[in-house]
Amino acid sequence: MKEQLIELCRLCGISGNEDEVREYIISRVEADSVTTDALGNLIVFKQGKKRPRRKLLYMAHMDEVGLMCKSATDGGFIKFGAVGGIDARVLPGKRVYIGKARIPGVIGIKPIHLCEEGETDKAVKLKNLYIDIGAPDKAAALNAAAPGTPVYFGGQTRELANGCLRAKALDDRIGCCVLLQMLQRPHDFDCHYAFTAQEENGARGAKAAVYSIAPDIAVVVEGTTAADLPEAAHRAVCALGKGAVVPFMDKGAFYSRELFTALREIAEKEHIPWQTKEYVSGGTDAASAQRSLAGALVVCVAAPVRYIHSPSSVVSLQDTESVLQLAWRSLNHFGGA
Amino acid sequence: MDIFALHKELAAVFGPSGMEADIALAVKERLAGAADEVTTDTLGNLTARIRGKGKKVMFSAHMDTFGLIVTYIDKDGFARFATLGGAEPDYLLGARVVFADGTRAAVCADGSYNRKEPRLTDMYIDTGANAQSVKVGDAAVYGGEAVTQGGALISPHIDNRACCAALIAASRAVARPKNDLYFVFTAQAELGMRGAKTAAYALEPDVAFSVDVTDAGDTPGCKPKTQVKLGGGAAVKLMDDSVICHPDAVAYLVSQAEKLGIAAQRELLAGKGTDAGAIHVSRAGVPTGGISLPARHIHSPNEICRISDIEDCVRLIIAAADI
Repeated sequence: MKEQLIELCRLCGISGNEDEVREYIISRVEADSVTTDALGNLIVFKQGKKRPRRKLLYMAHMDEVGLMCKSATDGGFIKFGAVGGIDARVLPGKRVYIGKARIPGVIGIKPIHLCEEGETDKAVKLKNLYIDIGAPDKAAALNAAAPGTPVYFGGQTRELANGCLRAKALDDRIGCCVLLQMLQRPHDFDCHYAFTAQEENGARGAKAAVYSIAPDIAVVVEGTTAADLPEAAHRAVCALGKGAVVPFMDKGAFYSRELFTALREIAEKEHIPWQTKEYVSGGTDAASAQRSLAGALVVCVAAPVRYIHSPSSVVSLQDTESVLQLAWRSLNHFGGA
Repeated sequence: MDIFALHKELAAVFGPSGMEADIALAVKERLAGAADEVTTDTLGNLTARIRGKGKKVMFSAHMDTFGLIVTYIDKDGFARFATLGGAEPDYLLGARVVFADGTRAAVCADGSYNRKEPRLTDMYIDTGANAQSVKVGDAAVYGGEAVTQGGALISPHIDNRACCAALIAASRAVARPKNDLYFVFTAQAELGMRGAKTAAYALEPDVAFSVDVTDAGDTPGCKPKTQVKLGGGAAVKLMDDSVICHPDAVAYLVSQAEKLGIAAQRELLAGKGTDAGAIHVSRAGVPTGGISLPARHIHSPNEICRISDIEDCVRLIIAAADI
């Protein structure tokens, strides 16, 4: 699982540009049917020994947050916007790669001696940053990075101490990896899978995917923010190393009590480490899944991720293992329930 | 049963957004005999049908209430929370709340609380003891009792249990309706009309009316100022932040109110939405109107309305059923 997660995180696919991730998944997926829809979602069906009473769907999104080129200055610096929720504070000094050609660049910031008094005390704004690819002038910059070209974080993937992994795009290549691992196994019950597009800009791919699949139960496998830092314990959300996160709600969905309780009980029974989300934040594809057509029961299993939506996020591989175990056990449980 | 007694019973039932099972059951019991069939769907919406030969008419009133949900409990037993629905910290501070199991608690402010810029993250729930019964994910609602005095109703859950009461009363009054009527008690409205979206999809109505509270504009220094006032009768919704009501629905309600002598007023609500917002854009679109109950201090522990306005809403719902 670790090797596949590392491979997945090295792929580049900001929202709306998921091709590379989708092609990788198509090449690895073991299923009975694999189709790509108009929004770029990968819709997968795996036949099991039995038909479940309620139609099951497991989902993970393929896209990652990143940047997009917007224009260039006369001096050849590239101005950009954010795709997905990005805190500008994580950007200055970071390495980036532009477009299919992976043109290397760095996110530049005004040097300290040019700052007005008090300016360095304030958080930097996106509009005051730029990407430097070494272009001599505007024309050269635009030639390399036309408006609309995606920009990817260059965070290097590395194993850290204590079974932790540092990588970009852990949100949600963790989910993609878990689903791929599940698909390798023979299934007791028929199950649908959706590798969705455009989650980071508002769970858009999921809308179309869920509309066409029409599940009764949708399980979202995600990476979720862990803020287990020294300050503010009641706003930590969840913590690395404490197991799979089963949230009761987030800003996008109030999860089904039936499924939430079932996951909690499965985790306890199977001795899978689990925690809940101790702060209401973020949203997932569940927001779209729950309210499509005449509605679906939704639930989420997530791995805690520190510095999520930054070039270097950190996950505990033990937690991703717990997510896989819990998601897999839940399939058999929901299939039979 | 009079409308106050019905509201009081419903207001006492625990049912914040996402946890509507008990209130759905309580509503279902009170529909016995009136409805031809009663069903529950995936998101927890309860639908009562009264058969008729004409159009498929949907009435929706959300049955969930505003609530708090525990996100974190510290070693001393103090609970941090998020809200189920929108809330002013001012309204919450000092409120008494009750959990599903009957545990009572107070909403308090910690040392970082800034009265000029109040934040929910600087507040906590105090059960007065290391209440072992409260877990992360448990929810609480305002715990006060509904009372009536001088024709007014003071209750923590006028939103929207007064409208649920109105819908139940109306459903009992329409014996052999012209149209095919569906009274839908929706779930998760306080989280953004989530239940109404799937209920409308499943039902595919020809016309719909949402029944919900609306902000009265008749209190001192009230902002934004509106013409809606307590005692002015049922409010016919023209628009809110989620919907522009269908002109035919508006015209029908206005003409029926005039014809039948039902006290009514026109309503434009700013900054909030209703089930009508989700219903009118369902599938290929649904002509949708709104019947609103004017209320003050919505989402506070003490909402106030007039009993006579609820009764006018009941009359207008019954009239609307013949559209």
